[in-house]
Amino acid sequence: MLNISNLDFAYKKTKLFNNLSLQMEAGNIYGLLGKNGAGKTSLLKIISGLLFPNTGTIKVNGFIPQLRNPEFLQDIFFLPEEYYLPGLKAVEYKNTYAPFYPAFDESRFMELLNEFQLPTDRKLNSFSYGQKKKFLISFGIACNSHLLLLDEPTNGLDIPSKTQFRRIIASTGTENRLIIISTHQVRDMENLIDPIIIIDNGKVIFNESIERITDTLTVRKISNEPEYKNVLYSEKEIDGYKIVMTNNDQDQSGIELETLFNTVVTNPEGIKSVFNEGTNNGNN
Amino acid sequence: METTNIFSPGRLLYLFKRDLYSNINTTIITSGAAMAVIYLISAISAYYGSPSDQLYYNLFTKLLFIGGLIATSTIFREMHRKETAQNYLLLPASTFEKFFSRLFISTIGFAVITIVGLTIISYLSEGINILIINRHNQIFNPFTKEVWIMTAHYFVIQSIFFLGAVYFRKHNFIKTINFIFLFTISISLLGIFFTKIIYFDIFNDFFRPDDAGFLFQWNSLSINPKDINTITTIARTLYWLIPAPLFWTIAYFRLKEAEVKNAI
Repeated sequence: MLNISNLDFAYKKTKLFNNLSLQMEAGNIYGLLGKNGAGKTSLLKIISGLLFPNTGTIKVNGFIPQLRNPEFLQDIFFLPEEYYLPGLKAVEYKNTYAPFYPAFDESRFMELLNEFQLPTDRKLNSFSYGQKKKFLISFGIACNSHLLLLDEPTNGLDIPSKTQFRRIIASTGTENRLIIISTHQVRDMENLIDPIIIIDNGKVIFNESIERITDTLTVRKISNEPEYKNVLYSEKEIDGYKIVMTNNDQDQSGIELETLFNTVVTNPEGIKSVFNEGTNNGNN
Repeated sequence: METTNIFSPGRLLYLFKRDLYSNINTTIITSGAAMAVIYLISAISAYYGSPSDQLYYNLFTKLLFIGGLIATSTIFREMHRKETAQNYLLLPASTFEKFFSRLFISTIGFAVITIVGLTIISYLSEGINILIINRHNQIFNPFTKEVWIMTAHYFVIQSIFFLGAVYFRKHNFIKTINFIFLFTISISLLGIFFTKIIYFDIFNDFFRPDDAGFLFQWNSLSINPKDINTITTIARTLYWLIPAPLFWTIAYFRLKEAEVKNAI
């Protein structure tokens, strides 16, 4: 559904992506992780046609985003981290913007507003940051677009809203829909995003499904400083050390996203060789 | 590419509706203020001065050229602001529809609203003036040749400000005026330079002022009146036919290339 090939992108002289290639399939909720300034938001903007690549090709469902074809635009919804809502009430906003989205589901929209307990008699620009975000999430889901791009969607949401968000997004994912969530709040995304993509230094350094991650890596807690040869990552905790190792024992306990992220960015070569080894063993 | 990808009347109507909804408060406040000022001017003119037969025509040209050009300069503000650029660029409509809706609003839309609005206000204001001070100015008549010629001039000048609205990110009105000023100066200097080269004999010493003024050998200048007519006709034709389509076309392609990184 989404195909990025040899993408180069720079802000003036600052190069952000260098020969980046990436494929994503519908029916998944991809988690896009990366350090600050890694280019997560820029990648989402390139995918939606808000930024143009310097070189390389990008196609979403056969469309070239930078052409901003109306058929393409009505089939994507991008929730940015910073946004603007006009001085309209929820229903007025729906009446103004929903006609642009032919697949808009009005009853689902009202249902989501209700679920997020958003007032319909107040103007949207008087909403709090979190309320505005919940409103746009509701609108975006109701658009029924095939590509949903969410940039830091849980930032500013209170604890109950984060739970609601996870439940709603999990129920929103369909076979035809591709959801990409860019986030730093990895704890909010546990058990929601799969596969995981990590970008660093302008390249995709990790792109694996949760199943494969669980099969390949395991986390142990030890009391002394790790001396194991095959430790990929270690982290000092109050009561000892948390270590990430190759999963040779078929342990299915899994790995927290935060630990996975730290492992990948601190030891990309080690992770690469472990997963490549796994692929080769699988092929053999 | 299918035509509906470039132009759909339905989507264009949604765009107009969206623009109306989004700017309704500003429009009401601005129109209200303009109406109040116009009434005040008409009352002062009727009470103190001699009631004018040109009052509304003068107001019309000012509204059209000052109000219209300022409004045109801000017509793409949404695209240049960081917080609203994404919303505008990702709105499911083609670049042509977005271009056309804003062009229509700032040309025909603004002119029609000004003409109709001023006609209504002139009737109301002068009605009140008759009732209160028993004197009145002449009502605005939109069906005169001058009004339509001035509107056509507005369309030509507007096209430069429309391009400025797309091109510049901030202070579009001032920057467009600066651009026109610099452009005019540059063209004039180029004109002088080439004229001096081509008509060296006539303009020799022209730029060496003495006490009597510029040294210009008028006797050497012999231009056939027919040539002057031809030049005037060509210049007029170029003025009416070239700038507006040219600047609008450039504005369209500039809009097509807009990215969020240009927003501030």
